[in-house]
Amino acid sequence: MTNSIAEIEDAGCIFIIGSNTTACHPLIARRVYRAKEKGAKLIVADPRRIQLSRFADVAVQHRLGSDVALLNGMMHLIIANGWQAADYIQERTEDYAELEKTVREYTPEKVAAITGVSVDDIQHMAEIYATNSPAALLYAMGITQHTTGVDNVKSCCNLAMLCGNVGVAGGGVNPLRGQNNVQGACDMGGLPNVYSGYQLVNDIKSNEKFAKAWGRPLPDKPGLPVTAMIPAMLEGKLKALYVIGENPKLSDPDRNHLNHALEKLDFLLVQDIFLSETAQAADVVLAACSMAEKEGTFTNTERRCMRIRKAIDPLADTLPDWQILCRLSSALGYEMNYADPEAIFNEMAALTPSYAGMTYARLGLDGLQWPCPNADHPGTPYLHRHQFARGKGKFHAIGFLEPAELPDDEFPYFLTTGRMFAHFHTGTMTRISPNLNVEQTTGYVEIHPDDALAEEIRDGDMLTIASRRGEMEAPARITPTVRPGTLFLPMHFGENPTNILTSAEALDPIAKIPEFKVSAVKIRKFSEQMGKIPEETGAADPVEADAAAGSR
Amino acid sequence: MKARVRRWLEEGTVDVFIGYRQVDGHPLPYCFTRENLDALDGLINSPARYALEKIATHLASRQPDLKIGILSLDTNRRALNVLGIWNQINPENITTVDADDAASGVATPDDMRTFEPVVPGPYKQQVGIDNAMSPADAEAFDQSERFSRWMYEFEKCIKCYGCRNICPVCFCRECSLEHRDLIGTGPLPPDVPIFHLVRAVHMAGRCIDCGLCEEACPADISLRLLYRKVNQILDNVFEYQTGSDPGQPPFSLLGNQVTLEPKPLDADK
Repeated sequence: MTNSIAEIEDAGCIFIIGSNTTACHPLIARRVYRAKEKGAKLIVADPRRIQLSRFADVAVQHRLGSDVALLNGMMHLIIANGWQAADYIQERTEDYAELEKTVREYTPEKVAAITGVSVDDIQHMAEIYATNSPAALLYAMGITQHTTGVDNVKSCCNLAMLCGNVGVAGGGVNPLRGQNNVQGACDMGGLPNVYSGYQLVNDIKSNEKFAKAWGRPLPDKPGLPVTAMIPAMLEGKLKALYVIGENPKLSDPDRNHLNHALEKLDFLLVQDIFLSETAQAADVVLAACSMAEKEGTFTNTERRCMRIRKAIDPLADTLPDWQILCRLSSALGYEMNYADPEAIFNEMAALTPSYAGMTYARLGLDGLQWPCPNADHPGTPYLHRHQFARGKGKFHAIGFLEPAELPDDEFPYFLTTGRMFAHFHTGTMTRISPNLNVEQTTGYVEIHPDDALAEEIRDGDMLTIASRRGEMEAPARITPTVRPGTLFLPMHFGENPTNILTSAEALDPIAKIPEFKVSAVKIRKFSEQMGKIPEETGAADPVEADAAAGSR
Repeated sequence: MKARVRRWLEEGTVDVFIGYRQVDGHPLPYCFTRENLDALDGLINSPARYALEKIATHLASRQPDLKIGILSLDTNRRALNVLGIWNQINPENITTVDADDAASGVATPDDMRTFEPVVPGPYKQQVGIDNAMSPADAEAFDQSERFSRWMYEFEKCIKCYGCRNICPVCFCRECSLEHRDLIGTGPLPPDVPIFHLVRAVHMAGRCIDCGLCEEACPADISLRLLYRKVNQILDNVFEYQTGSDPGQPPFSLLGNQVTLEPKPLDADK
């Protein structure tokens, strides 16, 4: 996030696109509710009608993968009405002319045709966003998990800069990160092309700095992103895989393809706190302990690095991840000896400019937000305050591109995938919690009442959903929250492995992120509902049945 | 206060003392023990509130004979009354220090204070239920407006169960809120208004109006007001003032007096 979570409360407008915030980031949703009640305007754009849509001044359900067109359409109208922040654009940004030229083509009528959003709604979105400063833009995987993921993010940035919302309190471009420490993992160089603090491995100065600190020459070429590892396994170029705290068997696209690749490996090593689907297929499993059993730090979505403290000693034969890594490294011939996680933190801070001012003592309970470059620096609640990190904020003129796969005669439905509130990612932690599991014990597929009527599907009927990659079963949940022609599958459930259907080839060309949010599928009935069929509620007419079921 | 608690621990008046300790500027609940008397230097009277008596019930369920001291406000004492009545603690094992007692050596706190008070914004006042309203004011809206205002509040619910989990008098082993036949599961918001009304009904004879539910609620739903209405009904219809007296019987919808002759349980034999 460019800005901080608490600042959301003080926004004049909140624009949420591609984030089901109450289900996936509930404590950020808390700030959205509060901002709304204080008088902020709320815009929600999501292919599904989410809980926050109920509270929005404008809520639209744009067609899957049409984000760039929608955002360009808003910018078209903002410029046409002169609502852009002219001084800000002049002083702080560059390449505005190209943006203006491109978005000029995105007339409301054209955008309405692409997105399925009415001209009126686009007009409202543009006006509300542009005239209620500061406007905070929040997004999540609904923006990033596309073949146009980078384009989508850049379009969000374009919109925010156009209205002068980057570098101001309560504004910003705010990706809501999915895990407690995914920001921290990236900050620490858990990516194929960077050391900690995003220092490039192929930058000579960074490379030399780390080589000197660690006393070894280091590779100067980026490694492989996950999505490139799988083809490399199939080609026999990648022979051993070490998976730490991930469950790619459920979370990676095209499960059949992935399984095939995993079988080609000479050696699969998995380190996790539970025996996930992936761990079950491993040659060796290293049992790690949980966050309650270890010391360290997490860095959350607002760049806040905070300490975690051990509540209990590690159970059974488990170790903290850092000790496992140190032992493994030592066994492989590179001695790693640290007294404790604080020693590792201090080494990292000394090598990482954005963390240089942090120590355990300074972190306290509340932590510090990077960049925190020296011992007197209070941390940074929002980025790009006086100038952008790169100097001028760069506009990118971006045209709309269709998703990799669109519905056709054979696969007539759009499929999008995502999450529900009670479960986390592949469910390794939440599905074994009785209190959480009671909320949703198995997978399901959301289908619009009109489609259910046409296909003679009743609530709870088991459906087979098939794509070009494979097929899986899930019980139908009939709900008007999806658009007709669009299905939604949650990704948490191993017995209904959603990612059998998604493509491992539809990737963003730059970020290499898979297009989890758009696939084309077909459905057929696998079996009738096995439980009671409530004839008296008029199940033959799902629209009525839905109305009878109230908010569902 | 520190000297008194130290003496109690040393003399065995209590085995543990549950209060607050300042950690990096945050007042956190803390269990002081005889084995670590030095920690008492950090004992404070917190500007925040927490259901300390709930920690006591967890301790008592594992060690029924444990003698427990608790730093108490008026709400804590009312909760202890209810927990004693429902056999969740043994009042004989509980000793309290009055946080609002001048002799405790700390400033008198306000019983109604909240750590982060909800200041209802204009939109909430327009379409929702202002948290600071009285039950009478909330009932002054005509029926359809009252319904839509309460539904606005309930529809914000993210089903975190924070209201239940923080509640000092929520101790049931099986919770009706998790009963699939009563309340549907799956989507957000949860089944409204039934989710909130089930909890409201279950607050009868339990709720001691501490307001922690509302403080815990991430959606700022006007829960305290809802349960105040329940308490008002109890007072008006049953003349029952929850938590007012450690000697009162548990609340029963059937009333307190047995009006039928008890039948022998082994009548068949």
